[in-house]
Amino acid sequence: MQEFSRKGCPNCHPVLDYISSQDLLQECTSPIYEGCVSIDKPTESWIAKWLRLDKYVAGVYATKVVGELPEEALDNLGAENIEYIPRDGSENNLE
Amino acid sequence: MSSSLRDANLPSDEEDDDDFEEEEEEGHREKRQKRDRIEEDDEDEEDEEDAPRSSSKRDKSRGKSNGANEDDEIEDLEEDDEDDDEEDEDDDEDDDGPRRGHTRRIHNPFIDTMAEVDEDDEDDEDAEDDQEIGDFLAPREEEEILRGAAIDDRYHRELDRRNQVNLAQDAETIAASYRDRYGKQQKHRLGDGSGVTPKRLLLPSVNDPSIWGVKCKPGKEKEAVFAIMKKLQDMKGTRNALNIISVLERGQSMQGFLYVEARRQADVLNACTNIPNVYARSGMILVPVDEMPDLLRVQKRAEITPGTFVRFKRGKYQGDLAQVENVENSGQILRVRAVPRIDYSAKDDSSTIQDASGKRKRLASTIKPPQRLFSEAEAKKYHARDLSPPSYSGGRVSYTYMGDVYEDGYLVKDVRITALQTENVNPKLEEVTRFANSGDGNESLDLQALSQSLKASTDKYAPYQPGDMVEVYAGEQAGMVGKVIRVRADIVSMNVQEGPLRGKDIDVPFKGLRKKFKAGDHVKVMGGSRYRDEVGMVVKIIEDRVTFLSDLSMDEITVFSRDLREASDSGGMGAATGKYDLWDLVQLNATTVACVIKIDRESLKVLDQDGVTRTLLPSQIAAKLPSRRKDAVATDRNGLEILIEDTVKEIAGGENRSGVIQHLHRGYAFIHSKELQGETGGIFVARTNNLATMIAKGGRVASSGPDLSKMPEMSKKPTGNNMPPPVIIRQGGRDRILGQTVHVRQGPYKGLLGIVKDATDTTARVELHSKNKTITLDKTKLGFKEGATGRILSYAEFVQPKKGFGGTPSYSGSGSSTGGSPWSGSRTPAGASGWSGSRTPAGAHGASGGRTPAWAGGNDGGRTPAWASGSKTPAYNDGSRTSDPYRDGSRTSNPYKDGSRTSDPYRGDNDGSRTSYGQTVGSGGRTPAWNPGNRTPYHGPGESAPRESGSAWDSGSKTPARSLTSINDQWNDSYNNNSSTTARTPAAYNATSPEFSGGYSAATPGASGLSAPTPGGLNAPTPAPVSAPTPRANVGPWDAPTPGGPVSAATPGASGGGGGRGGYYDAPTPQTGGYSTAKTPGATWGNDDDDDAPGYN
Repeated sequence: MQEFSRKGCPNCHPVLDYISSQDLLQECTSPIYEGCVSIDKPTESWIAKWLRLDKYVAGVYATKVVGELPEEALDNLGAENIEYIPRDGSENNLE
Repeated sequence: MSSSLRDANLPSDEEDDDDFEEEEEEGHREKRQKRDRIEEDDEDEEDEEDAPRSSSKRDKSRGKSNGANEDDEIEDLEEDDEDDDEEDEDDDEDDDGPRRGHTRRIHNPFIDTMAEVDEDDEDDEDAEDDQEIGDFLAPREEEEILRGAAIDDRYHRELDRRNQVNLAQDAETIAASYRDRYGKQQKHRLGDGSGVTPKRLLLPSVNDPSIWGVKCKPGKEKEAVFAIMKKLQDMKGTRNALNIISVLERGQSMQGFLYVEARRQADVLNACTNIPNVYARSGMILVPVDEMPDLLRVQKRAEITPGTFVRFKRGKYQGDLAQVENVENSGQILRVRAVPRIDYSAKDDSSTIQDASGKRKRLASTIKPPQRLFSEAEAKKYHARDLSPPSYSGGRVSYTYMGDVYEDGYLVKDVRITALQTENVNPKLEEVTRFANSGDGNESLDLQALSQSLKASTDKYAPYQPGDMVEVYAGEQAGMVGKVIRVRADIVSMNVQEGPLRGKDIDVPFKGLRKKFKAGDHVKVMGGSRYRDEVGMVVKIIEDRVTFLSDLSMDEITVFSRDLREASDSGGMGAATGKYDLWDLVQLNATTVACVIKIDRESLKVLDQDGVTRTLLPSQIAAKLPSRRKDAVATDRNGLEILIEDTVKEIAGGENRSGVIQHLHRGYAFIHSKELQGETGGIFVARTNNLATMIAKGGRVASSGPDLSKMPEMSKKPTGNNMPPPVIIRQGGRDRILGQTVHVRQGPYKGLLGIVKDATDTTARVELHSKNKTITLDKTKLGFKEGATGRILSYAEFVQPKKGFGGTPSYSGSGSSTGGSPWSGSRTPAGASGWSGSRTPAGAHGASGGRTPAWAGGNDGGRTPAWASGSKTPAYNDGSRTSDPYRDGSRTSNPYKDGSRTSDPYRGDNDGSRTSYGQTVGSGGRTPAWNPGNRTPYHGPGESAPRESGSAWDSGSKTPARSLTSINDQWNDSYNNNSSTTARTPAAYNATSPEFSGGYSAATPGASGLSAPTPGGLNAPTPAPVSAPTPRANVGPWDAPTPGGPVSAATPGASGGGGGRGGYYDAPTPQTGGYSTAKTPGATWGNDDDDDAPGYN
């Protein structure tokens, strides 16, 4: 977790800069999740594809995350022309 | 540097190649490192170079290390690493922009032929490269030229060189350019929105890797996933790198399974070996392609907002409804409000009885205290300490009690969501109304929330049926009204009845649909509420809440429209008539039965056992009791057996009604009277002991008494077993037995001595002298050494303080107590079993039976005089009469009486035995007997007293039945009993008189017997033992006084009320010497009488 807050999320980095903002980190992550997928080869994996993680870096992800992104984060995403798909919450990377 | 030079060099290079090789090795390495640094290389060249180089290197190292395998391994690894890195770079390049690809395309045609040359050339150049970097420029036109002169080697070389230069370019700039590109790509990746791709296009195909399910230890799924992940990372780059693609865990929905995505099953196995808690070898399952999406399906959990209703899943409140007050910690913890179930007194017990706590607590926890709002007063009463002072906030009062917070009477608790049931809660209206008058005091419960949770829940019964009028209240078709045509799953097809779409059929989901009623409709409640089956007329409709006026109770009832149906006029008589008939006996609840006296269209009118007429819905009746239990038996006031269909007459407490018994239930008889009509339809209810048989069914002879052999008690040999040993009620203050040296008279420790360390009412903790052990024993099993004489006394004897004749106390304890031990033998069966058998409920009183009231009755008025006499008589009679009612009991006594009759000396005992009966009643019964008014008048008057005693005695000597009758006659002439006893009475009487005195004299021996027998009596309450002297003995003396009482009263007449006692004492005196000491009883009696009323009551 500390590592996560230090290095940030390689997937969201350009949009959601966790490193510089602890608050954002707090707001954009959620302790409530279900299922746990460790993906080694996102490009090959069907699971990754299904979960729409195939363009992400290898790592451990959750199948379900409960929580809501704050408004500004959503705006940010919108500004970057990223469609936000809630996984019953936000996308989340568990480091 | 010119290209011609290059060309010239080439051939020589080729020749020197072999020599070169070794020397060059170092240079290569350097070069490679440099390349690494700048993170770029050319794939083709690299690969070709690598193969020979690495192999040669391997050879070299092998030679050096002389087969030191480990070193070898390590080096290999290093090498592999390098290769990997290079590969990675290559990958990167693949991804790279088009520029590279372009050049390569140009390159390719020549590679085959030029490769070797190139390589050597490159090697050669290496040194030069560094120098050349600065001045070599790669003009753009170059490519064009290249294309034009494709065959010319030089151009190729040029190109290569340019590439080299590119490679050598400042690493920083290259890195920067990559970062740019990479960053852009990242954005591109996220923004590209793979999310736009619809899921159905993502469905797995056969080309996708397979997923295998692997068993693992439930609860350890996540750990295992991380472990595999770790392994994956650790092994990465090694020869045994795991070849799996991903690992998945669905702990919540698929416990005990991991899913591994891989191309080959062997990879899965490989990945799972040596991972703790994963059992790959016990078989793995290939997930079929079409099930793969299900594996990853996530269900959105219903959102929980304050106000919704949930249910507790476990604990004391299991199944209870609770309302969410607040959602905390991102929905993980809910603050809920529930109606508390507090047993204010419970904690007390468990804390005081610590040693037995294990059992005790469990016991307590199994009992669910009823739901009640928190009461400050109660809490204060029992656990003032645990109650915090009230705090007021926002108009609410809250207390902390035993660690829980109670707000406005409700329990407010933070509960984990996992401990709550949030779906299919299905709250019932009455449950919900408990939450209604909360908060700000207004009665508005949050019906919105309620209906929300109601609608969400799928009900067992189909809420809509064809023909129902429904209304769409939400969605596009809101406002549409129509008639249901058919219902499929949760879609209703309805025929629109109003508006422009009139006549059209539309499909509407349940959601957004509600039933429509109009004021004036006749509706019936279908289910889901406690008003089930209620019928009434709609008076008010607010959204989906319908208020109707019940036909039955004329109350206004509000229910949800979903629970209503239009009542078809024809369907009236359904439940009510179908199930119940007139005069059926029905169970209303655990303790109440009732007889159906009227059947209405939708309701029943019943007369319950307390004589109350009620109107009920069929749904409110718990059960119909099997009709006419023919074997039901009860005893009437006179102890005669009464059966169903007997004609009886009310002789006490009532209006002299008579009729035929329809039902007997416990101590109640439902009687149908022809004369009595009116609202109860001729049925009335009476206690059986207020009845007297008039005509027994089948011509049973009233005097014959019941067939004793059929009585269940007969077959049970030790009748006494049924009854608990009498409790000798300890009078206030310190238990006298504490610290006494006692003698265990029974049980495994029989014969041992010990000291009483502690005592309850019935048991004593005895520390044994012989063993270092403290045991708990029944007090009655103890023998107490009498200080002066050294005699061993029973507990009963010991406890009663001596007084007067010494005997005093023993009886005093309480009539019953005294009797306690001695009697238990004889009386017990009589009392307990006798009554319990036939009229259990009456039972308790039973013994004192009809009389009990009598005593009370004595005070009661009404019957006072008659009764009193009656009652008192009974005291004695009881003995005698009791015998009858007791039947069973009496039976017990009977044999023994007979026995007693046989031998004169036993007379006394007889008395005793009988007395004992009297006594039974005694505690209650005697009171009046001895007490003032009642008896006095009765007895006083001349003969009655003797007679009484006579009869009493008689009864003793005679069969109970007779005695009964006789007594009845004597006493109850007024009752018009048909017994023919009169004749007998005198006889009895006569007979007794002599015996009487005899009895007294006899008592003495009895007395002596007493000391010893007492215990005997106790021990063996069985009738059989009873026949043994014990009871008699005890009783004898005991009894002796009883009669003595009356006798004395009669005899001396002298001393009036108090005098009676004196007399009584006096009378026994002679004998007393013998028995009083042991026998306390007489004395006690006196005592009690003195203190009297209170004592008995």
